[in-house]
Amino acid sequence: MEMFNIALRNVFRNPRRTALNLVAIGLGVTIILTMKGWVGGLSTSAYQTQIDLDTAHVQVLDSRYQEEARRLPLDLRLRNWPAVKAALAELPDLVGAGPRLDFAAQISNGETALTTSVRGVEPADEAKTNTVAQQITLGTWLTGDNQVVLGSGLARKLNLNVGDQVFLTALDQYGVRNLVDASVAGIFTTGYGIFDDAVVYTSLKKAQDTLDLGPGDATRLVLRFRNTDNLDRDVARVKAALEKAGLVRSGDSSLSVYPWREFAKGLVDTIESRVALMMAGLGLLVVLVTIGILNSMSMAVQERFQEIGTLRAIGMNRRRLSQMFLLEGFCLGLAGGLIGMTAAALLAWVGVTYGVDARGFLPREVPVPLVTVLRPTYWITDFPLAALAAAGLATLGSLLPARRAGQMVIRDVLGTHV
Amino acid sequence: MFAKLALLNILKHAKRSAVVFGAVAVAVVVLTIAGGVIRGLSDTVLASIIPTAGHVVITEAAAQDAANPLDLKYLIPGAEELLATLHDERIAVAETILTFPALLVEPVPDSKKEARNVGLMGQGVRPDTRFLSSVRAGITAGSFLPGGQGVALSNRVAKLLGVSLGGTVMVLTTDRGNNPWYQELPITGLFNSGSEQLDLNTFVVSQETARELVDAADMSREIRILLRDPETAPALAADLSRQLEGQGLRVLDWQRNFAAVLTIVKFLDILFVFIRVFFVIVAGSVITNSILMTVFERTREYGTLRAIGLKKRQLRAMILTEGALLGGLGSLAGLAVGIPLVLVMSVVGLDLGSATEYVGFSSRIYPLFSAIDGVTNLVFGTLIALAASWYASRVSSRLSVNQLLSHT
Amino acid sequence: MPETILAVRDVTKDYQLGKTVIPALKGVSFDIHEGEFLSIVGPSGCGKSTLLNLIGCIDKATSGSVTFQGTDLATLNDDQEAEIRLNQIGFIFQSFNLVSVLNVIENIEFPLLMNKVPRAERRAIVDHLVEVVGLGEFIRHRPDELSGGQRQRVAIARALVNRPRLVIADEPTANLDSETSATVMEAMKRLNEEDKVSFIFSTHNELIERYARRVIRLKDGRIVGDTAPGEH
Repeated sequence: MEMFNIALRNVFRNPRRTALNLVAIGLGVTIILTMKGWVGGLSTSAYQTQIDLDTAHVQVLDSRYQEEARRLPLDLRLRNWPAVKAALAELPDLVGAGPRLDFAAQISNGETALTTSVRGVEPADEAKTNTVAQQITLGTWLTGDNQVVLGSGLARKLNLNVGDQVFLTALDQYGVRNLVDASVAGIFTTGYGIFDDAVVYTSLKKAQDTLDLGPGDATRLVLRFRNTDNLDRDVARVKAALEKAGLVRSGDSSLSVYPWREFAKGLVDTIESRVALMMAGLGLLVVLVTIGILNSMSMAVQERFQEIGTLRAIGMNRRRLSQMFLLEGFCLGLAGGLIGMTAAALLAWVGVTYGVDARGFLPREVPVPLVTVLRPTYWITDFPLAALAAAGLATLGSLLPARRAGQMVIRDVLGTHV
Repeated sequence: MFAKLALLNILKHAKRSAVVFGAVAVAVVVLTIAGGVIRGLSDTVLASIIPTAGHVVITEAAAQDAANPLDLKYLIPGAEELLATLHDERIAVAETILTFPALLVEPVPDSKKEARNVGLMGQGVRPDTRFLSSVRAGITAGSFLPGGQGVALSNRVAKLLGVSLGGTVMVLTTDRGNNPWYQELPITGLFNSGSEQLDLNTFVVSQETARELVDAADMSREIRILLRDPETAPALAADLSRQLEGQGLRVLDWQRNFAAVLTIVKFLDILFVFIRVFFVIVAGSVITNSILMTVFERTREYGTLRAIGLKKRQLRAMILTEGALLGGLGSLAGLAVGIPLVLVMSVVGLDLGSATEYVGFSSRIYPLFSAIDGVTNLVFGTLIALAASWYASRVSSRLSVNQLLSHT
Repeated sequence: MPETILAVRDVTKDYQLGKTVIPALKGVSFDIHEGEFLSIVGPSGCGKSTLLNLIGCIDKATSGSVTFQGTDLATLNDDQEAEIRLNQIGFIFQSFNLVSVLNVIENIEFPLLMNKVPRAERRAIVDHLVEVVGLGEFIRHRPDELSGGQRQRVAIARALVNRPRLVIADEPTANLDSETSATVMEAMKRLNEEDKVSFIFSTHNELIERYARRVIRLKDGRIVGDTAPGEH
């Protein structure tokens, strides 16, 4: 304990140097924690929105579909989705499972036509896997077969209201153009531009009729789970259940199971590449601060030549001497870390309390769902961990100087003068 | 003499100098790379959007606020005559272009078989167009539009449709009278433009073909203009607006046309300023500390020099010289590491994720090094070290000779 | 009677140590004349160094005056003080205080450089001084390659390089053994006799004290004895 005391006092023996070190360490810790929080907040928010609005957690598709997804291939479809759904009904933590039939169609109010992406769904199932049903701002979610629910951007462009009649034109599976009509049951507003401007929901039956498909046909089966800590495990369970039911292979087609990331590759790439760039920058920051501490501690050793000699002369052994300097570095790092942690916690509090309204920051056509007030996300353990990491790094930075102090010969150290 | 003494001191205290040197160098490396990336981003905007979209664009006025701006209602009638009236010394290239939505369908002889199809945006252009340069440059098989015939597709779309060079593809459209129409066209060129967004959403035909497909003789979607000097865009746009007044047209310069993208570029610029400030503070405190140490370590020596007649001013000059030397050399080292890194990245590129494309950038950006950035960072690194030594020299020269001498 | 170059009148010097005021000098008066070889002696803590610092323009008196060649040192600004230290007064330190990164020649010529003396002239002066202090073979050595006596002789040469009227040496032999001390004192004495430079040095060593022609004894900040020239 008396070592700790000496070390602590030594830290504050040269106030200017200590202050500068604390600024460097503290600021470093603040920057890293704050960046981590916001990046975490941004990706969590974007990923969660992606899952809630669009992809849910896990999907089952024909194995060849993903490669040709751009053309929304009707030929590569699930041919008996109810069997797939039934096979998965007993999965643990499953919240909901529902079919989707995806196709491109022209939607028209009779005057103007716009290209949209239509999802034929089982209304009750879709409401369990997806939050769009809860974001209806006008009218209701799908209640019958002859209805559509569309995004507010699309509704505004086509000047549509609840109850209005719309026409859908699409090419069926044989390349024949079909025209059907439906009425607007409801309008949703998610805040996600490309969603509100281009997505239309209709019943699976209506979609199948439009595309000249049978009742067992769907593009995918979408699954939502309660506990998603371990998505890989869920994917594996789905695979196992399909395997068990003998559904994986039938004729020349086979089924594949994907986690949601498969359908948001662009989003995940974009966010992760930025995170990587930022991490590289933060890594250099850490290097910089460590160099600073190394320098500072070697200076502390050097300017205390005589004192080191004295301590050795009165019987302190090399080990304890080294420990003293290590402890000093540790204290310095810990103090800086605590300062940084406090500052970061304050910033975190401000961030979490007020947030940054990200709505409307990105152009509407950018496929990154920033639809809420963004708030940084932290693990409470981030803060003490960062402070400890700072202390650890500072100790590491003191390692060489401390060793040097321990290795000095008393005779050389006492009374050196040039 | 000061310079010599400074240099000798730097060499004598090699470790301590190495720290200052290293800290300056790391800071300069980071600034150089960050600067290169930002410059690369801005450059992508100018180098990839402009050749595609032009500096000034003339469109039908009502299209801007229309529910479906791509509706065939919003074409410019008599586009070629209009083009002929545009004489201005500032204009380098002006072309009419007809953009239209279409469905590309795999041609199948047997109508019972499922036909693959994909909805794309058609670009009707002159076969020798100066725009769409990434498509022209990215042709991997065949040629762009030989003799104005045929259609150019990306390799990815061709694969989706199961078609290939020399074969044909059906182009389905709805014409201006809302009637379905189609043509079966030979595939004359396949391309990889380098942009996923462009590849997956665009095909190219001659404008003549496009006009036939949508039944729009002598009409175009827009007139795109490239300028000799991009800076003249707003002025030219204003002049053209006056000239074309009353014809139901709208003239936009690129700064207004891409305001959203430019906002993001500006945002990145601001972000870069923040990065700079952070690094300057952290690097600054590390460097200041190191320089303070080198100075304090020699307090007695400075006392001696003062005692034998060195003036305060001279002492400060000496400390500053040392700081400037270290800062300058450290910055040079930082540049020596940073510039090659940026140059390597400028060849290899940096993948920013495909969502970036929708903001107007390409997903792979190529950081750029500019001499101005290099000089700025050099000055920057030197200035940090100078500021630190200025502080150290202030602290030192404030002490009396006696205090300096009795410093242990 | 030789010219008076330095007059010390009723000088006191107090140091503030925390809340306590410690009087180092309590009213000291004496004159120094041209060509003197004067020793200030007394036990440690008696005020020797303080007195020498006041004379050497390194510190200021609390009260009283120090007049150097008719100029009251209290009236000088920092640059003027530096000027006097550079050209009129030489300083020799107990622990040599050489610039560690410079070699013997560079250390000695440093004050000349501050005076912007041309190269050839510098050469001549430094060569001569190196000869006088007997360091001919070590001119390219750095301080840490020299013995204590050699270092102190470099310091003496440096103190003399601008031909000062007065050289102040604060315990110049305290870090040297007796044999080396003798050679250093001999060198100082020779310069005093040949070049008429006045020397004032402090010591608490009686053997060194004997080199002086005049001895001022300090005790507790007061002069308790001044053996005038000729009385020795």
